[in-house]
Amino acid sequence: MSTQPPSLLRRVLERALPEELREGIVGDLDEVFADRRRTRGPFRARVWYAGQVMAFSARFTAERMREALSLRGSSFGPDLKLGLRMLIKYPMLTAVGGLAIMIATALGVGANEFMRDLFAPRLPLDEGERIVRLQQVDVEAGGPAPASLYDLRVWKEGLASVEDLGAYALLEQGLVSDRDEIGTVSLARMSASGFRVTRVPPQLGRFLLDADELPDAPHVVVLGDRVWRGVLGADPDVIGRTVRIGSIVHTVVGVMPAGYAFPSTQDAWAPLRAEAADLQPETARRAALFGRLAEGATLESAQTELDLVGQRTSADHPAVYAQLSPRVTPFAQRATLGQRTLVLSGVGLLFIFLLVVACANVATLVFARTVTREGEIAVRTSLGATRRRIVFQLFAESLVLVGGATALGLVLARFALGRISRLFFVIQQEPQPPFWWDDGLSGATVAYALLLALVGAVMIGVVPALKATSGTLQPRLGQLAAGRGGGLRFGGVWTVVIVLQVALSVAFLPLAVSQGGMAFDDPVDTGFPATSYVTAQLGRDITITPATSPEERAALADESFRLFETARDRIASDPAVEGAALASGLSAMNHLNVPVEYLGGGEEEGALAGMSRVLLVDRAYLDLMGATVSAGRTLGAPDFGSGARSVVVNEAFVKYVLGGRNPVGGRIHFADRGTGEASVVKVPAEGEYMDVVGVVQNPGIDAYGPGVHPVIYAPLDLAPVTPLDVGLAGMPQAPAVQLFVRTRPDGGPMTARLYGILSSVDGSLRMAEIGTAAEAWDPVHKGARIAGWIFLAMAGIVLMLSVAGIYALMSFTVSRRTREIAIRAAVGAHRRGIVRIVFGRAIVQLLAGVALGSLVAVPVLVDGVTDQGPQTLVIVSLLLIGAGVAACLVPVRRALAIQPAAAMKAD
Amino acid sequence: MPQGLGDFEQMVLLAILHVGGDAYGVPIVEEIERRTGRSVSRAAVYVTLRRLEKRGLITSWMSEPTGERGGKARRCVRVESDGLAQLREARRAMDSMWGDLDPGVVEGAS
Repeated sequence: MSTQPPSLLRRVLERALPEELREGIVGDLDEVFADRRRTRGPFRARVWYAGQVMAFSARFTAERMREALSLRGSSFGPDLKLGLRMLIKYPMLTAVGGLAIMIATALGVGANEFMRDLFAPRLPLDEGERIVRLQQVDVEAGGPAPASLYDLRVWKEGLASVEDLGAYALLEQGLVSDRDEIGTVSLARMSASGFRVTRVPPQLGRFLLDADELPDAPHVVVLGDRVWRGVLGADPDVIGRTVRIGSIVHTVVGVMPAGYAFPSTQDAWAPLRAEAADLQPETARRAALFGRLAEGATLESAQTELDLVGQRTSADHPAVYAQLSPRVTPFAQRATLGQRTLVLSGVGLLFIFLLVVACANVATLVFARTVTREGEIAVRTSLGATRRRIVFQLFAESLVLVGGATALGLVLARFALGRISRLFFVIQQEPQPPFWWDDGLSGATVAYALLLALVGAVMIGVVPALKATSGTLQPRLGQLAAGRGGGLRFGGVWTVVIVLQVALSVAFLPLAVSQGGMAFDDPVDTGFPATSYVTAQLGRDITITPATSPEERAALADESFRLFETARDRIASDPAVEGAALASGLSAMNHLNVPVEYLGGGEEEGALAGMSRVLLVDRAYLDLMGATVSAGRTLGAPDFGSGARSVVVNEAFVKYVLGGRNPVGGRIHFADRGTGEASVVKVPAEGEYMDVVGVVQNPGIDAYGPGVHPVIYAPLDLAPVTPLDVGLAGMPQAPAVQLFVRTRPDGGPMTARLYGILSSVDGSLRMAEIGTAAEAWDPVHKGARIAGWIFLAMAGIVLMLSVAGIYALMSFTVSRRTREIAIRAAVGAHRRGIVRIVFGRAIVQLLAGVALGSLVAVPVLVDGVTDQGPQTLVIVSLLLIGAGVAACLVPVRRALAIQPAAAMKAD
Repeated sequence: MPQGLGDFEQMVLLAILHVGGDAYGVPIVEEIERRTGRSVSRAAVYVTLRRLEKRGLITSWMSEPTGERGGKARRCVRVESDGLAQLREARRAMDSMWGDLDPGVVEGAS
């Protein structure tokens, strides 16, 4: 057996030791090993040796780190100071580079945080991550299906891993207090367990109890802070007072603290009472279900248990449950894990892409600057500075720039996030963000941004520094001494960089600028008198439950529709009003966008297909909006209530869906109504055709401007008025339509007048979201303007970076040729010829970039996306070429000014 | 201002002086262990030797390779005058701190 220590261990030891100590220490340990082997045996000697190897490895690794840190510690501070000085010394680079990184960071961080809040939020409640949502999934349709109160009963009995199971249904209702204070509430009819799940105590009184859910219990309500303060004047004696919500009088038993809005944005809670119908799966009301994971349970264990219960229910009630499969998910989660991962990684990639583009451009600028400091670097090297030392200094300089810009970008994102998310919810027609929405930046996002800033600093500082310090020192010093500038060579690489830089700008900028046009879009410019139209949601304060039979529901819908029509006619006859009309929604905001197929005379079905919005309108609507007929006829009396299926389309439909073909006489059907939203307006079923009877000029009442969207106008009574079957929260909703009123210029304030007319028609009629069309569109316009500004900001940054980059690169590559130019002049070349050579090369590079970029930009622009695109393409190209040519001027003039004799002598 | 000597550094320097002319890692470790009655980390001794050498308190040189170590040379060390001066200064400071203390504290008598 060998008397030497194990060779593998010895190799490990040798690697861990500094080279100068290696032989001495390895020899010493061999010596001790041999001694121990003799005295204590080979096995114990080997164990001892292994221990020593580990101890030496750990000690010397720690020692190296200590040395490295102390080395850096001595120079990092001065390096950072120097970095700050560099920022001041090169203000253009600081401004352009800093702004680019700041905006890239703000956009990336903002988008990342927004998507995180949207798809993977954290509930700000005690152990909020353990609050879960339980729902059904329609296995065949592949989408979620509402659970029912029957499910609640079954799951309560069958699940041990989910506690405090409860249900809720949401309703927007009017509230009238016992002192005639009026307001609206976002009401949750909710199981009392909802309050136990959220673990938030009331600020006044009590919250709901299980006893409140009993059928014969008195009607009670818990109010939110907003309603208590806003409607009831923060009455300290509110407990015991009564409020009428819908048609039911409730006694107030509690007030929740500000910020409490479970399950989403609610500010009133009434008990969800079980009814006899809920005992049967066929008739049970639908509702959203929630609970809290029991001690020791996980989502996975709860899902396993739920699967078993679901299988039993499917076997017992195949008619209802055959294609349903229950799911348990985190409560606020909006998407599946796969979708979330896709979106978040997509946004993450976008962030990285933006930063890489910004940093690559800034790196180019920094490189040009680094090269101007080549002399300094060479001299420092000759004085003994190592390459590592110089690279680290340049890294520290870029870290100052990137770190500062990232910090500013984070501040900008924090500032913008709150505004943009509020706007997002307004556009989504949600009154406010859900209670878990957090406008702040999470620690993870900030850490991620800082990590990327570090990577950016490496890109910007280290890469150019490595390039600038590469090669041997002597030739560069020699060349510096001979006054020839440094020895860095560029060649074809820089030609490629210049061409690509120009190409990218030319390809991207026209598109960005044309989208940026949205920033200046003014709704008044559409010519539509949006301020003369008052619009409101018209609904009824009635309570409809799924226990109501289909016949009763149809009768209620019919009755509601007649009331709406009566109200419309009364309003239209008011002297302050020019006209009134009803439609299924507010133009271009909550229209459905559905896939349609057009069947013209003798053509194959589905030959022409596209997406279109569908608006159900009454017979007054198109006239009221001033829509003039450009082909065929408009919707008239025979099309309403007769069972005829006539529709009118707008010119945008003809242009975008039919490619200009005259549709009159053809037929349209909806290719796929999808699920959920589409059922809300109850468009005709698949296979049912509608006859196109006319084309109207694009009515101006469109938040995005006339003619932007294809729209099909169908008679409002073509389907029962509104969503009687499915409210989005899984509860039936009372019928509602959108009311439009054109006011006379001298008509005076309309709101009170409209309320008066409504109450004279029927006490149950109510209005919500009253305002002029201009006000209703405002969020859409604001959103568009913000999007426009984002595009413009990005375009501005890219343009700035490109112009600065092209200028730096051109000026730099030409100044590299100073000597060549001077010598040409010395040997008798004509000045004009020299200028032609220099500029000729620059122009070729710039034009190649423009051509390459146009290859991408032109097909997109020709596609008709924008009007400003082609002009922008020309302007951007001219700007870049101008910058490039201007950049050549200074070095060429300098080179030509050198005396030929001096140039020859230097050689 | 020169950096003062730590306890362990003093021990290593004193051990080198005790071992004498051919001091190298193995006898230095043995000397410390023999005199203090405690086992020491061999790796810590070598790291300390390296630090002392970087501070100019000791110098080292490679001996002739020896057959008993598989042909490997020893790295021998010697204390330099700066090292001696710092050792004396450390002792003086320590003596000064002990000086004038109650004999009961110094001798351990109660």
